[in-house]
Amino acid sequence: MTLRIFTLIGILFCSTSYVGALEVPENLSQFELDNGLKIIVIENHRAPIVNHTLWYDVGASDDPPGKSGLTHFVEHLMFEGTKNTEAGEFDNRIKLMGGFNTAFTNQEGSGYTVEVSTEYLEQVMELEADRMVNLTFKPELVLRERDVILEERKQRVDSSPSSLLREQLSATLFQNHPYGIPTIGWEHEMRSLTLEDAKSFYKKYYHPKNATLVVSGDVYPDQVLELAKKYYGHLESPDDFERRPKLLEPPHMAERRVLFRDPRVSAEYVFRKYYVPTEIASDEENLAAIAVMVEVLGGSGITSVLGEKLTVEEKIATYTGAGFIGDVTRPVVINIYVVPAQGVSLEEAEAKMDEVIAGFLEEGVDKDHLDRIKKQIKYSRIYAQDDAKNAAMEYGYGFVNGLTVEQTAAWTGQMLNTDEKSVLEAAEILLSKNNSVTGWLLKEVTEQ
Amino acid sequence: MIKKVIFVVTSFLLLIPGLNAAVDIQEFETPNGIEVWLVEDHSNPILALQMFFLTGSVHDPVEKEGSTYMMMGLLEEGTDDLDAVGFQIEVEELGARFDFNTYKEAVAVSAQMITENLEPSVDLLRKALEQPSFDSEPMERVRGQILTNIDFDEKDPEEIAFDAFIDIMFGDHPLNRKREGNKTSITNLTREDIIAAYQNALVRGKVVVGAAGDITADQLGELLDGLLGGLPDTTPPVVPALALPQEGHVETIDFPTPQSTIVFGHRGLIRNDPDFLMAYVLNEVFGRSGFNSRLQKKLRVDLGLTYGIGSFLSTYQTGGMVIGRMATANQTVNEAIDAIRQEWAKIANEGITQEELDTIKMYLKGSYHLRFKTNEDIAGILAGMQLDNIPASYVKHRNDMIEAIELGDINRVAKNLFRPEELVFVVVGQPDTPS
Repeated sequence: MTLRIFTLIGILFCSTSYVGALEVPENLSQFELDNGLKIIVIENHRAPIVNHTLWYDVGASDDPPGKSGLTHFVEHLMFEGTKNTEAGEFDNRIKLMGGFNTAFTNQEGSGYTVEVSTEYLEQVMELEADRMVNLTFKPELVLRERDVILEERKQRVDSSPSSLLREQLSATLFQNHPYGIPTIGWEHEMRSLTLEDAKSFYKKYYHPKNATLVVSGDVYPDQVLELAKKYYGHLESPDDFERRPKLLEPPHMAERRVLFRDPRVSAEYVFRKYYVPTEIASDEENLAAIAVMVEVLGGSGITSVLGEKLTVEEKIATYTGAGFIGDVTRPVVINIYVVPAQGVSLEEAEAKMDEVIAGFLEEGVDKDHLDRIKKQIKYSRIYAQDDAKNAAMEYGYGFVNGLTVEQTAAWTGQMLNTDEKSVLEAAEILLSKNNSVTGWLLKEVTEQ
Repeated sequence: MIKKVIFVVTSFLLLIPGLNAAVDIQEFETPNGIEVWLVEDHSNPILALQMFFLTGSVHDPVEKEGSTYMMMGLLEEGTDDLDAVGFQIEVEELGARFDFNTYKEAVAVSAQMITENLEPSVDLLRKALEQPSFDSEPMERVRGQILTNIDFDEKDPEEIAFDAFIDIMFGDHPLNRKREGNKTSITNLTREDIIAAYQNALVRGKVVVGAAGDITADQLGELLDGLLGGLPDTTPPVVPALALPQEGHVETIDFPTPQSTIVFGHRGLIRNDPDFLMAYVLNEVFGRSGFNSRLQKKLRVDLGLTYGIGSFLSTYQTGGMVIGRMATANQTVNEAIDAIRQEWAKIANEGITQEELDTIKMYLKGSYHLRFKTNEDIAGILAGMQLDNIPASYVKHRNDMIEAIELGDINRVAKNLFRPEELVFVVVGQPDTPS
């Protein structure tokens, strides 16, 4: 049984690399234009559709101090008009093509996706290239859009005790790295964002050298390259572009606890985050072992170690789960949660969770279980081919996360190469509670 | 197992309106008389199946609310010869993906299977449908999950708002029964109740099947007869007629949160209404088309009151609704409600413009085939169309039907569809008192 209680699952399984290929696939081609724009073309002639996604290597981690939420704010402003288009015209034009478009921001990157019938690829490129350099910042639109992102924060975060808990957990876990600051931003800083902030941020990060174009679907590499040269080729990148220095976490030396009380909580649960130190997580074999370990421990509902022990055998939980997020190039976090059964306290649920972890380390990894997970990894690659978008997203995320195409392609193979021993060793990180924060989501008891 | 889905107020309608897609639908009956539509595609070694059985939570007996939902959640929790964990292990070994879902008017079984494992995968699914164990272990666990989900929903402003809205609209009609049931009914359900729900719902008397992927029609016919042949050939009972209220008002539910969630709407059309396609097109202009819908333009773009506002047509066999939702700061709720009322009155009185009609036609025609992307998408569309009694030929003619819509006709429908005086608003939050 899989949990869809909250969007948790998104966090746990958002490693799109999970459906990767063993080596750079034959249908993938790479180019780089003279101005530094990288291009990835992935052919998939399953349907006469093309997915055009332009990725900028700028995420919330790049928000300047005191300006949290700026990356996401700029993403919104990308729809507010250029020298050549009115506000909202981008959407209108895509719509007239019958297309779909969206944009997204996370800690590492910003992506702009358009999906259309293949014949519109050229028009999409023209529009997307235009807003790489020609954005206009109309004061009244900027202020209005700032109200919109404040409403977005209220809707996505402030309205949900689970989201607020996760925000508090990340803020507590990270001691130096910007992952402790939410992508959407802290409200007081979002309120202070200005037109000038947005403009200079856009100038600094939106240019060919800082972008990768991923085009997937019913297209051919030469055709994409020719069009890309025509529309992106003449755009210029600044000479003095410098990224922020990579910040590292100091050693974590204290176990942390977060008790989050809210009158809107109706079902309590335990949610723990472990930070995996860079010296461990930056090794590809270690990280693959961690990914598989997390799947064995809690990735699949009742067939995982946590699920079988706590929901089926001991019956002290209704839901359990585990997942991980991160790459060799950036911080890695393991998430584990237990939603206790009725009448079971959070204290007991947490103690049982620790018991299962300790037992897992003692008993080791079941070979059949590991083999089954590897089979599923292989099958998931077949399913992924059904939609050209999957591969496109995988390589796009890889780019903003700092991975080469080769690294992204190698990921599946690395997971398949793990064995019982490496997976068990990876689980040792779960014993270092000093690297962790444990959260309790609690009903607020109001005094009469 | 029970998954948590955010809100399934609408039945299936959002699947349907399509365009002239380049898919070749084969329509046939299996030797045992099961209706099936297939799009054959051998480019990827997988098969997607979508099946609807026309019994849903609307058929739950009084005080047994949620029995169909719980029963469906238990189908993948063990069979006569496999316990829950054993069953899931088999699923994982085969790389199969099964999904069991409950709607108000139907239950759904969907499957995606890898060609090389097709036979054992279908056999495993057959056991789940024919020989579910309904043992006490999975039953108590799934009961606990449903109760936990009900707990979550009770404090989710979106759920609270939709439930209150649906309660106003459906009143005493069985459609008002929550598919998840309520705490009392779920707590009291027995194994016998679950078996009764199973015997009501899993019958092949009225089942529709959509399939897409790596299989031929002959192979599929044989497969389906094997899969469903063991189920009884009875049909579900008829649901009583529905009368929706026609009086507008604003209902506020106090909830401690900085932002209010607002659900609004009134009665609408059923899917088989001759005006439905025009109503669908109107709603695309009004509340469904991304940043450019009238509601988004007014409330997000012009007024900056919300991150998002939208409306949709909800259809059931016996009645339909126009429903919208948005969230806005407590201080701006009244401003938002005024703006929604104005937009509602404007489209009712003035209709849409020729330019809006031309634009939306281009969008709807151009986007139709984008829906037929994956095997899973296609199987879902094919089954959904059958559920709504839409002929397979619709896929070929749909764009022509859209093209043929004239401004005068659609604006006549607008006047009938949008009824500002009937608007019901449910506000969950702590809005300022109207000045």
